[in-house]
Amino acid sequence: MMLNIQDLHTYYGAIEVLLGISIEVQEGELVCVIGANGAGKSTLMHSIVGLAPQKQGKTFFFGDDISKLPAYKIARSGLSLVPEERQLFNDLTVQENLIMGAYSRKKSEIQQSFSFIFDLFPRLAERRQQRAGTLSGGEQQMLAIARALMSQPRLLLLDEPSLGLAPLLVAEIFKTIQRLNNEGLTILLVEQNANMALSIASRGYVLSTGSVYLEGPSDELRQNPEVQSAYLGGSSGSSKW
Amino acid sequence: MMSTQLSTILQQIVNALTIGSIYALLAIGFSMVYGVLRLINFAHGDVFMLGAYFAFLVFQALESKFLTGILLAVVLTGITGLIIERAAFRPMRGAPEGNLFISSLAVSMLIQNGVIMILGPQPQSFLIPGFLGKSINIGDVVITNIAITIFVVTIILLIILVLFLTRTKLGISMRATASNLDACHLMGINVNIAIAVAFGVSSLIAGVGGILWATRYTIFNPFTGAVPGIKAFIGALIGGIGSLQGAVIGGYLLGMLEVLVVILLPPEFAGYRDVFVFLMLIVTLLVRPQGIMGKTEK
Amino acid sequence: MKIYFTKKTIFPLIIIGILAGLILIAQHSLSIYQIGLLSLVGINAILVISLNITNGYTGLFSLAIGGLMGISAYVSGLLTLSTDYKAINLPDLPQWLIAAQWPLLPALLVGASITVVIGTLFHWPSLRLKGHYFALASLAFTEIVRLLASNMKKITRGALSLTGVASLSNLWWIYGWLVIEVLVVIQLFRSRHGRALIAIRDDEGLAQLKGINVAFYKAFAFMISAFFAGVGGALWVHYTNIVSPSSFRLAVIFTLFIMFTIGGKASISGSIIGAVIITLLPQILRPLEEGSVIFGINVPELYGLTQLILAVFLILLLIKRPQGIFGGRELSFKWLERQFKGLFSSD
Repeated sequence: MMLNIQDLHTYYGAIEVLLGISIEVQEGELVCVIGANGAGKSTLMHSIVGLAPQKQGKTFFFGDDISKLPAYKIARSGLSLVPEERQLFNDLTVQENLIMGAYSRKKSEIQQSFSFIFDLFPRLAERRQQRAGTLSGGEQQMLAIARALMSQPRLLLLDEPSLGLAPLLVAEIFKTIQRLNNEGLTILLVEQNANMALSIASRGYVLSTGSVYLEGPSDELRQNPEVQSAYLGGSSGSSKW
Repeated sequence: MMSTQLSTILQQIVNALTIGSIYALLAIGFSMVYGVLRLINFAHGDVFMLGAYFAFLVFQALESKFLTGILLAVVLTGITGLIIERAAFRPMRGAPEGNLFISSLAVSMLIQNGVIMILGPQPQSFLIPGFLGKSINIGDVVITNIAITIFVVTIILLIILVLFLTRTKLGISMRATASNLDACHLMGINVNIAIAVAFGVSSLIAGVGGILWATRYTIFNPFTGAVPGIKAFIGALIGGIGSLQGAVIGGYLLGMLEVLVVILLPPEFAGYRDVFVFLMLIVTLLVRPQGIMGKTEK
Repeated sequence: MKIYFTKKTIFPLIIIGILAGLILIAQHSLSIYQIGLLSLVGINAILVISLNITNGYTGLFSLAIGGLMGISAYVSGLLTLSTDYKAINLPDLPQWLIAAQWPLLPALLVGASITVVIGTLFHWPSLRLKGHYFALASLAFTEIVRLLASNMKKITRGALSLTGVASLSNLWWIYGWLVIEVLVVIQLFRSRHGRALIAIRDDEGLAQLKGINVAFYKAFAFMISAFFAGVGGALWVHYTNIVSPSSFRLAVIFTLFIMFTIGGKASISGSIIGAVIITLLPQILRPLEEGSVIFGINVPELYGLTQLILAVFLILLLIKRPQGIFGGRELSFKWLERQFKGLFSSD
């Protein structure tokens, strides 16, 4: 088992945001976590990578207990998070963002990664020397994913990759995510757009006010009438448009 | 033959570039630390002065060659910066800005009084090699070798700094830290190290500045750093705090402003020179607080 | 503003009575040196509470206090100085000013009022600035006042200082004004105006949305603070008998900030205790500075030791207990209870 989260409780001050979450991700899987706004999806991601202030419960990565590690050490052990709102280095160029993504690797080894990234996201290659803050929304999301991939993670975590993107771009991004998984990358995806998430994931968890409400293969979840009414029929994440 | 007016102007330009260089070096340090920590480091001017003091002590104690002594003094100043960051600022990471500001004020007092306690408040100086005392004359304009040295050293340091910040992983990580601290954790960047390096580098440069100052003005005392420190900070602010190009621009602008004020102000008002610097600060704060090169902060 | 006549108001009146009694005793039984220390404590308390009004209650990080007390010190000093002194040393002053030789109260009131006017006019456009931008503007104010004091030699004698200011301050004036200030602050922060200021400190945007006129209230807080800074400055110059541009340089402001930090934001009792500690501490350390013998070892003169220790102390305080002694609350029986319980429990 690659990622094993056992009974995770996360607190912001006195408020308990995650009330005992248990999630598993096996090597090679594409697992999604869906749920409404405020269900705790982003908090879950932050807790996994070590950015949550207070928590209880254990998180195992390839059997190692990473629950108490500082965030930068967790990143170096092979978990890479693409955060909600991307969190790019806006003052740095695309190239420099990618260099930072590969921070924990030796300079001599990362050339290959550059080729891979620019093959995956040709638009980024065009904008190599451009400052990240000047990119469009879709390009920024691509850069955020690319940056996370530069560290050659064993597990890629994506926090709401569809946020703020037009439907066409969302489809493009999800195609890319699926491609990455097909090529062997294990992915844990957190999404408000349940439609898209369940269409590419093999398994899913439904998060509701801090707890895992349902779990199972994505086909099952898609047939589930509760899931359909709450998250699917007409209430996909892009209902803003 | 050059007219006296032209000569005066050229002479003042030389002066502006000289003092502007030192302000630029100091301003960069301010901007660097503000960039990574959002801290206005009041103690920076005193670290600047420490550069001169370390040089003085090194020459007293070791009787080394000039260049070796200077390098050692600069390194010592950089190390002092690392110690200050570790002892006074890192434990306060995440505290409200006001507290950090007061803390830097405290560090400033600490340095000044530490020097007073150990060496006393009287002015000190150290000997500089003969060739620095000479100068070139172009018409009526006197360009001292010291002025040339200051300018050249500054430019070289700036080039090295730019290379460091754009070509090395560590340098880019410092800029990344200034840009988005949270994202740095996700990259596996040890933010503590990046911040410490920022402090160390800024103190190193300040040390160089202090030594250059001492060669230009000969004497220094524990309070010498305070005024140039504030002025350089104002320069950094005008240029755009958090932006290194802004710091350099601001530093040289301040040098020009000072010189301009000296020329334009009748001699009996000479003491009011610094008032203009502070007025420039107020104007900048009211009109364009992010400075020339800065972006509006969220 | 309503004045609340409750049990809580009777309590301070009793305190005032006790204070008056203590002052009487002090004046008759303490040495001049000790009375001097008490005077200094009182003056510092006034200044720190003034600082607290802007920095603690309203969240305006202000370094203006140096300039503010300086203006008042010079103005009130000039008004009370003897005609002879002024005729000889400041002959270029206007005739009416040279002839003037006022008693303390009017000079103090004029000094404080001018401080309010100049301070508010200067800071008016800067009050809308955020956080450390405002701090820098206020720093510029103090520095400009200092530079003007240095250079306007015909009025201030520059670095030569205004000397021979009469010792018009005494414990009654100082503690009298302290009581007035404390009462004003208590009343203010019980009223809705005070709550508005605290709301501004906690979240300016939110306060704005709640309909609080932020600009007005910031100016209001600043003016009250400036007034009492002026009072403090006037009382101070009539205690030290001298004022010069270096009297309100940053090192002096720094000392006030230590007192403020020890006492904690928005705490009157904290500010007073902070003033007591930091005023008295250097007196204890002074012998060390001048060289002493500890356990038979000759310790040489260590000038600067006091400031150094204060600086280290402040840094440690900011790291370990930035909220100060009372953490934003007042000295109360509950607090004392908790402290004693802490001492005796095995927690």
